[in-house]
Amino acid sequence: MLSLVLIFIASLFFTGIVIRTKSLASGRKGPGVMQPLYDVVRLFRKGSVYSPTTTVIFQVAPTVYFASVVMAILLLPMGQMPGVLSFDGDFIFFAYILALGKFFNIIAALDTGSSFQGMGASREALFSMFAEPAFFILMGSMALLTGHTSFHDIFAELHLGSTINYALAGLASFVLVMIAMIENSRMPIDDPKTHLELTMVHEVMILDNSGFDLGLITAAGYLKFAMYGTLIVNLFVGSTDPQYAIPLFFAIQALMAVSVGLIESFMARFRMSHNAQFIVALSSVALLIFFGVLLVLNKLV
Amino acid sequence: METEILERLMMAMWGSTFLMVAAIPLLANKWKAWAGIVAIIINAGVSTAGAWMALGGSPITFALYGGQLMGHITVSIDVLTAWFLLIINFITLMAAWYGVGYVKKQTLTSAQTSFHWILIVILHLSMNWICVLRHSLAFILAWEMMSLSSMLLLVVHQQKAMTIKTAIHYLVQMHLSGAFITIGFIWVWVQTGSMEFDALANYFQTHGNVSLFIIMLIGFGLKAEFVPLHGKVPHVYPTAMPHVAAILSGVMVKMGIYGILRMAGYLATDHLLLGEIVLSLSLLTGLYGIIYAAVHRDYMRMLAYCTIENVGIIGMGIGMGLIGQGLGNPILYYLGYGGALLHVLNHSLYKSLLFLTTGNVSQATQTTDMDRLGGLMKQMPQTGWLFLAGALAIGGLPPFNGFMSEFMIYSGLLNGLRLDAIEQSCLFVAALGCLSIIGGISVLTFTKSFGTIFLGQRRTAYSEAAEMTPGMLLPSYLILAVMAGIVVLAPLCIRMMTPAFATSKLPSESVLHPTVDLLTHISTYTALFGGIVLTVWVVRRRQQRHQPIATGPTWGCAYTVPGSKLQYTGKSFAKTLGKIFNFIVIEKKNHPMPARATIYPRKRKYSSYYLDLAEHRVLNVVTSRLVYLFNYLKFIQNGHTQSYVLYGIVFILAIFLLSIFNLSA
Repeated sequence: MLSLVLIFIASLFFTGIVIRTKSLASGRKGPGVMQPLYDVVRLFRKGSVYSPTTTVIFQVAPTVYFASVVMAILLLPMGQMPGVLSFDGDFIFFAYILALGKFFNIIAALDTGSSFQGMGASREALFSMFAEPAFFILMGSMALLTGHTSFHDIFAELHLGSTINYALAGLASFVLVMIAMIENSRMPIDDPKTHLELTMVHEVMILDNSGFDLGLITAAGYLKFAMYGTLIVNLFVGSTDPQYAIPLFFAIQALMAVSVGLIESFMARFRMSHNAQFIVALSSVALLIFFGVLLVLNKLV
Repeated sequence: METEILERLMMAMWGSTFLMVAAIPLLANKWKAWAGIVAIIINAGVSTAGAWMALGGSPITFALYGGQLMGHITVSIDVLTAWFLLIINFITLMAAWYGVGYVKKQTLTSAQTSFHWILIVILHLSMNWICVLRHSLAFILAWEMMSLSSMLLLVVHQQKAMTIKTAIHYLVQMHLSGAFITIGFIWVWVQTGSMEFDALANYFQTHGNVSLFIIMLIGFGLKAEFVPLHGKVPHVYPTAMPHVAAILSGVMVKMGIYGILRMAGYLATDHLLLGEIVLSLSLLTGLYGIIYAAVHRDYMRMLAYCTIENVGIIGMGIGMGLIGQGLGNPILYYLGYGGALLHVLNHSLYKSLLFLTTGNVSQATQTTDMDRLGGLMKQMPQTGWLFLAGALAIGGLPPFNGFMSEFMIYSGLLNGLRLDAIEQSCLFVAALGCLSIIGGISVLTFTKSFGTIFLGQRRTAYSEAAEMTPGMLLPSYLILAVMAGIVVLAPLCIRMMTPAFATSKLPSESVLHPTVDLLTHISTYTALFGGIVLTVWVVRRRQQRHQPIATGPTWGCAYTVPGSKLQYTGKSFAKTLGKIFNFIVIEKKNHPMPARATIYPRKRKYSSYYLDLAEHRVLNVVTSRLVYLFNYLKFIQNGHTQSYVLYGIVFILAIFLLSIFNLSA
């Protein structure tokens, strides 16, 4: 329950911090931290425009997408406190429920009959497909390390004692940050601020959404960022008491938001054809974690 | 007592089926289909009753007298058989029901219609027999009946050269499968002198396990379409009628799985090694199948390759079960076999649902090329929703039944990571990665298929497509209802089928309880997810009631004359994937370059298509070499009657001489 509340709070300002960081880095003052929130609230109060090409799929999809993200958040723990739902193998459910949301997002893009949206949809499907094994191998390695298969048990059992464990946690947070970037369509995989439809991935998919539906998609995006941030927080605060864990939660979320902003300010997006290679490389890093775990468990030598 | 009644009933029904089959040609065209359906219902009814008794805890065994050659044939329905019988009966019945409407709309002659229905009845009966017979010779006969009837079903409705060629390829492959199984059974017969299946158990206890199991694995694997044994089977489905394809892919492929499971049940040693072999083969199969499914634009072929992928997932379960048995690890054992059996059921359901719905599409539009379709959701909304349900289920996405079995297999894989030996850990982590990639690519495959066929705008002109009649949609709805039932009743399914493989050596309760609890939780959580979706939807409806809702064209990115041909096609949707996996999928292009120095080049055609790696780099190479080799033996079959008479004389002479010198052992 705690995680649910914290993620909702973190999602309110996360994107704001990212935008603010980018503004400051480029020498502008930039909008307030709460501006993205106001944008969504505004969208929620607007009417919508639908293309005659679209069917009811297009209208259902944002709802399913948003619900899938909320459902995924229910599974996340926070430190010692389990998530609202917690069961063995819940991270499989987590990945698959997010995939369901993505499925609907993609078919909604195809529903508009626009070639650009089809292109974005194809890229999104491809990139998230390649990110999947990295996530599963990472979680599988942590399950192996701790002997548990639910988010809460894994993170609660994760003790960062030795040097090699710190190395593993470092690698794991790298993989998680990168998966978060892929899933949220941020740099260096996708550039949310690009102005040309041909170079967009996620943004081009939602070009036709408006009003409440667009609000849902945007809100789901904010929540998703905070959700992946929580996963990373959990890597480090597993056994910490709540009074330290909660400030640490916000500190790590803010740190992550700032670093996302900095990455987006000082890096260019990868070439589209290099994205796939980059994402496959993530799986290799995840495999490295797996072998590290085997090393810790004295299985390798 | 009940067994005796059932025995009599079964015999009576098998007899009356042949009467029905004989009667079908005599009936009026209108009644042929219904006669076929009645025959299937009767057979299915009796075997379902038997299956029900077996699932209830009283397996049925009785013996038939099969003449001097075969002796006593044991017929037995245990839980494993019962599980497969229920699947066969339900899917065949639904597909046949759909077929009534489908065949009516085809221009078939009276003889063709008769043959079609006779063959479906025989196919159904032979699959029933395969599951109940425990006698190798009778089993091979039933296997042969299945191969022949399914092959004839492929050609009965059209006599195109291409169809016949594919059907012959199919026949050859099925016979290769039959040959391997026969070799296996003869081997056992020679060693033990018995043709009963129990002899297999004796054989495995006293002889080496690996070689015989591998032979059987190849034999049944050819049927189940394990890569690289799948050969040319994916080409078969596009030529078949959709309901036949549903039976072929949904049920008949599972006979191979049944065979492997049956053989695995008799194994005495070497479980570990064989399990590792099956698991590795399945990883390859799953990945190979889904990558090809993603790139193909013929949706029937896409579904065919998708079958291969699912066989891979089932095989992962079987391999895991074998490894669990070898190591004495009950978690792996029960999750592996349980996941495999549940996935068998799930796959038959959603695959037949998908074939039946795409059957609607192919009937309405007369094309199986998805890049010529588009926007069908508006004309065929019910078909569209049904296909979407099937697509979500086959991708293993949560609210549907596919997730249940994949979840079990995932849980097993996670447990497998903990095994002591490093090579097993590595195998399981590879399996984990593969299964997640398979899940990812199947999302890509089915968003592509659904999006290209049903969404967007119509790509090429075809005559107005209309929704099918309720009679043809009803079977699909029934399948969907069963799928939904499985989500709720998955724990019950697990409890029902566990006796199929439960052994006293591995205690089942310690694994079963948590698994059943877990699946119950998951079905509650999917309900919760439904609740969230519904809540958001209600809020959205309320909000939109008070806001202006306008209609406007799709954003064309400042291009003012967008046309339906500018839409992203299925081919381009999967193009990048095909490029990345270009070491697995072979892409061929046909694009003649314009001649030099032509100012106004003439109209040219461009086409590109994907070739199967195993088929073109392995199978075709081997067969062409063989054909080349056999050319040297042509002189024997030279067409001169004199030579043939000479061969006869030489043969008789040889027999004569051998018997004189008493050389024939």
